[in-house]
Amino acid sequence: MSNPGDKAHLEELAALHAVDLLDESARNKLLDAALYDLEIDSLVRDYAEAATLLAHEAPQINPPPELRSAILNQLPARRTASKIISFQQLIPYAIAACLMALAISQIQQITALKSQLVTTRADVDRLQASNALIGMRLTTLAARDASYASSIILVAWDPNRNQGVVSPNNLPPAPAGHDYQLWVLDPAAQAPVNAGLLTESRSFTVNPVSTPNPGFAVSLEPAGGSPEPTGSILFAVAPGA
Amino acid sequence: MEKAFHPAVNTDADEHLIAQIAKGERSAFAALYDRYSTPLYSLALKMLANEAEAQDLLQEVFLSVWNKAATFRAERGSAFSWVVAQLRNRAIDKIRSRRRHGELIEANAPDLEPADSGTLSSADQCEISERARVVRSALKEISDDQRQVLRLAYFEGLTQAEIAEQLEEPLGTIKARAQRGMARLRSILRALHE
Repeated sequence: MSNPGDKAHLEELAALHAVDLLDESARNKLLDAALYDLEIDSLVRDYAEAATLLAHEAPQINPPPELRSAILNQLPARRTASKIISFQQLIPYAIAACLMALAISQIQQITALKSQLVTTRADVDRLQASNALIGMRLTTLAARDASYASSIILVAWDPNRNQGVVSPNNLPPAPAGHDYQLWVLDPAAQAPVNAGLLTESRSFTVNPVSTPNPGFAVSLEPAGGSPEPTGSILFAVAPGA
Repeated sequence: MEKAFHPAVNTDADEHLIAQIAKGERSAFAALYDRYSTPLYSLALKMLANEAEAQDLLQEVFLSVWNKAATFRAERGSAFSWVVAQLRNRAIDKIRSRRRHGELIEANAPDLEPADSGTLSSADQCEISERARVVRSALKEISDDQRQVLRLAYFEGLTQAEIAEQLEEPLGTIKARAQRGMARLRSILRALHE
């Protein structure tokens, strides 16, 4: 938040957002800004926490005692029916997806660089040592649209190589004339960095970013993609999150 | 990233309970129910002004906590705020649905009397109630006109325009009162934290 005027305006928006007094346009402006700026993100969370204080204005009344056992008796014996998949549950699939995508990437590299034996050997040696996974960060992108709540976008990011693997799960086909597009959110960049269309699990590489923990977002763009986001942000995780 | 804090609850203990619930621990769920059921039921009753609907909502929210515990992230906010947000969002949906169907119930519920502290069922509830009392006392620092706007937005889910119409004040006045009230709330939260 370099501009004090912007900061004051965004703080006003954050205050109103905490009690749902923003229209959709202002809310999107605030939440998009929070994606790129940890300070704004922190402001939004601060105000949300402050708004929760209002809950204590309600006169304190105990629920009927029988409600406790009624609720406890309704808990499913096992939570396998839950649609929500924990991050821990995803890790084995994420690693498998990473390994598969990395394997594809390796084959392509080796084929293309056959004539450059020395370079290829170094690359193969490095991958054989399994160093490619060291320091890799796994993150899930939160759905920002309720209609995508059952979809999961997983990104494995290797900050040493500015390379990642994105894996969409249960993502519905893009509407006719549109494509999903992946963006890397670098706090130091003027705009989201294009990481290509998102149709299936694949690897992607972008120019060096300023942080080892960039954010990621997925938007719905006109078919073929856009140089910068023009459509709704459907999934996102903030830098450093 | 700084850990979220909420003065009305024991943040660390609640995070631990949510983590245990995520693993399927029923005893942790029961403990969280004992800690949160009174403030959550009170909020549901305040918003819906209907005991049966408030009980249904409490049930929905606690079952949602059971199902979604693994998605809770402490660095994004306190456990209490996470659960309150779930309840409030659902309550506002119900309130707006009533309005859409022209079935808005009079907000003056006859049964909104403070609980007798002697009926609290556990030490956890006593702790929560004491902390809540401190918060309510601090909330008196907000001016009446600011509090009125925040109440209409928070408990009734009214928009800026609806609040302006109800209070017969310009939209800009409503916006300014809400912003100042929230800024004051934020400073109260910080003061309670220190």
